[in-house]
Amino acid sequence: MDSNILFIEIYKLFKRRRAWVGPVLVFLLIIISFPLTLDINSDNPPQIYLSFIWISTLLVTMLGTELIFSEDFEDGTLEQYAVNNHLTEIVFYKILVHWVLIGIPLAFVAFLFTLSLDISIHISSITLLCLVISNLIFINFFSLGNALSLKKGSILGLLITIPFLIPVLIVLGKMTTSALLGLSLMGHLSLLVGVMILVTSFIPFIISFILRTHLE
Amino acid sequence: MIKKFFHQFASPKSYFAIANKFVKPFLVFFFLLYISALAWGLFFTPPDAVQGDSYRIIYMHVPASFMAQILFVVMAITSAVFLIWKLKLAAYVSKSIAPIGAIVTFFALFSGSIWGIPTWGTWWQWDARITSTLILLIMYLGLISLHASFENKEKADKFFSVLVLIGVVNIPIIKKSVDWWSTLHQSASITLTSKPAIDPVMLYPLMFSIVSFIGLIFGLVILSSQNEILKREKYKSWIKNI
Repeated sequence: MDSNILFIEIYKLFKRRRAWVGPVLVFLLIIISFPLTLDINSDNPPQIYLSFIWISTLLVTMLGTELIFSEDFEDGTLEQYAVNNHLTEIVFYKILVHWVLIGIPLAFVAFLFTLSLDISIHISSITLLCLVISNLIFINFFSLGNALSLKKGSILGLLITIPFLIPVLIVLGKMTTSALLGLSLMGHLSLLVGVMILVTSFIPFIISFILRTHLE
Repeated sequence: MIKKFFHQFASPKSYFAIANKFVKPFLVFFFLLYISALAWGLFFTPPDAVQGDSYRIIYMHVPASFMAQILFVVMAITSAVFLIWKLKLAAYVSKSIAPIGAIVTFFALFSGSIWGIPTWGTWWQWDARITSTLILLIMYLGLISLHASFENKEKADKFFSVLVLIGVVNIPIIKKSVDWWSTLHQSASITLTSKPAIDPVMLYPLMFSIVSFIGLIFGLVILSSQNEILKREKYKSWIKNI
């Protein structure tokens, strides 16, 4: 675990300020428009707003991870990493950095937003926790999709990986229902955390295999 | 001796020769078998107590949905074989399974919604099993388009195999979804461990149609993989001698 490389990656992403402030601002704009288009005074169940938030996080993380590999691929840095056998580490650090700089701020913005909708603090904090965990899962899968469609720059790789994320969305939806009914959430939460651990441990290896195939 | 028997399936040339010999009678046989299973189910079984005559679509719907899942698992096995042993033939076979799997899945969803109109009153419902089968269909279509979008077919094979292996986790979700969540779709009437919940009069044509449909679709897969071999080994010298 070379901490120098970790800091280099953090600095690289931090420097391109548009890359990590952009998604958070887009997310803010999207979720602000939701109460404008829905009638707030009527009896809308909080579940509608929460499902909007999740789908918007999905789309915004897709936007935010679009350039995760392309810059390094184009100027040859990725080849250097591949030759030195650091590729899996680098992929893992990139995903982690994107999560810390994009995923966690997104979760906090959503948390403040749900508080502003008169959703109880209990449910809002559950939303915060779920978003922090599922953002990592989303960023992993969208990096996989970006690695697949690296040279072409097309959206096909991303479209293919969205079906894998639908079970995560289903679990999130069921978690909201149980939370609103006051039932225990331990089952759903452990499933989500289990998926996150599994995905985060295996996806860097798969992505480095795909990137190596691209570099041949 | 046995090793030689299995090893000859690894080369496209001998696989093609063997498949040429038996695939056409194989297909005709299983097609006739399936037609007779359908005829048995349509004309020689009594109507259901609750559903009347409309249950007979089970003889098309159940084989199709079963096949959709089996095909994905077979695709995963051949993709794993390709990634581990680097046999190009395994990649050709898995690539040729994808379009057939997509069509079978679409047929399963279509016949299921036709069945749903008289029995459930609705042709679509967002419950667990139907939604996961829809995800299966989208995965098949995504796999086909992924393979088609790459110029370099060796790279396309590798990405295809990786994606199939990631996607195979959807199959246990489909199979177990009727047990894990309370859904509109009924739970399994035929399991490996307990007595079937369906009457033997209807069970036998159902098993017959499942077996014949499996044979039919595998015959089509072998035919399609022969086509794939011809496409990809175009410049080899043994092609001229067919």
